[in-house]
Amino acid sequence: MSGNADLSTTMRATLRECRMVVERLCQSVGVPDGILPSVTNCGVYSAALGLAGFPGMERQLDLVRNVEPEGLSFFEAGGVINVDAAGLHAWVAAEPALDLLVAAFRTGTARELIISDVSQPAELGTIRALSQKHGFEAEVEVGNRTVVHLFPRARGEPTVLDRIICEGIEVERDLWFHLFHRSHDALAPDTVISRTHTGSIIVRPDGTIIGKEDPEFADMDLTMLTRDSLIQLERDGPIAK
Amino acid sequence: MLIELVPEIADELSKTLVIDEEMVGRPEMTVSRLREIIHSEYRWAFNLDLTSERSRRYVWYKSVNAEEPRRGPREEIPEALSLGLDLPRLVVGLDADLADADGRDSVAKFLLAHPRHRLIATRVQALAGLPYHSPHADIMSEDFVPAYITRMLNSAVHGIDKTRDAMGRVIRGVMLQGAPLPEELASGSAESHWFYPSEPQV
Repeated sequence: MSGNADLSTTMRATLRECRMVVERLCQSVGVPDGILPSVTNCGVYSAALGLAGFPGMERQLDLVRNVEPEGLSFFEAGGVINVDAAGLHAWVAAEPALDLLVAAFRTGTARELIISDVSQPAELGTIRALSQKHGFEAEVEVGNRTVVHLFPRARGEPTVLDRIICEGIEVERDLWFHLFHRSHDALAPDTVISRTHTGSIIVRPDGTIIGKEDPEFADMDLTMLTRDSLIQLERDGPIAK
Repeated sequence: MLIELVPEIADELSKTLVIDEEMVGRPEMTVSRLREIIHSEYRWAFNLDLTSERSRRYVWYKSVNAEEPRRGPREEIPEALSLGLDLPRLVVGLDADLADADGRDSVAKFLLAHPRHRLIATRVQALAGLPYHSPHADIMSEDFVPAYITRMLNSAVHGIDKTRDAMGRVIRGVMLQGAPLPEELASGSAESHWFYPSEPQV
């Protein structure tokens, strides 16, 4: 994450930060594990492409809450794949629909995709970025029936993902941290029991270890890490034994 | 912060470090080909006990105030969302549904009907042919010892010698033992081979 030196109200979030926050947000509203990476990518690309993005993230999250991703259907006729999204959100429908077109394009049976009955059709614009990993550029005409055409990509041209890697995604600072903190809903409370799940060792404030006895660690001495010891070390410097 | 003092060098070098961590599937692959990959590369998963209570007891998660992965019995943290990749169960579950599909169908068509398999189907396709991408283990099982993987990574990737694992979670070892000293490097007298003192028998 990098901020502007002029303390502007915007910042740039890195790809990893964007994926982590969007994935946790999606997980916290019950997006199933099996489609979590796919929906997360749509959320990140939505932000990178100026669609609903971070400003519209909470609205989109409400629409994918506890989503049941089954229900899409399709038929292929005359070189066109027709997908009925059964009212599912565009972030849920985009990748499966694109997959059908990519498969058909590569086997030479179709080059056009029409997606109907999708919630938030403007978010199907994410297909422009999703298609690039398969070596295609997508032309997406959003409407009641969204039409997608694929074209082979020019080799070496940077993708949307490349741009995010290099530049991050610009976002309002306050909005980012609001979403960041909300993404903690996917994390468990920090309890005493939970801390025992970090390992079998428990270190008391005085530096002594409680937990399982193991001869291999009989000589492990963490007393040097107590607050008083650290203060003394800073004052006197290391003392060779 | 130090790297940012030499932005031109850092930017140039950063291009060699870029990885997008994206798994890319092959939508046109047939169902039968995907099953072939599963049965040739994930045979180990079918030989595990994946159904007993003992094998399914644990969950991997993160707490709200730390990013390190935690692992505990499900009954102790019922509210935790699982972050661990339950690889063997996902693979076996995928194979079961693939078995009921037409082998000539594309994976794209299969995933339209079985969208919850998207993560694992894409992973299997993207990593096909790579021998070391995943531990052959059931990380949810009570019998799984996380220290084994920690030791392997610390030895193979981070260069720690003489590793010892204990308490199922903790690894101890030595780094740079036998390495040349700074003054030896500066004077050009450093040996090209590090000495490797054997461990005293006590």
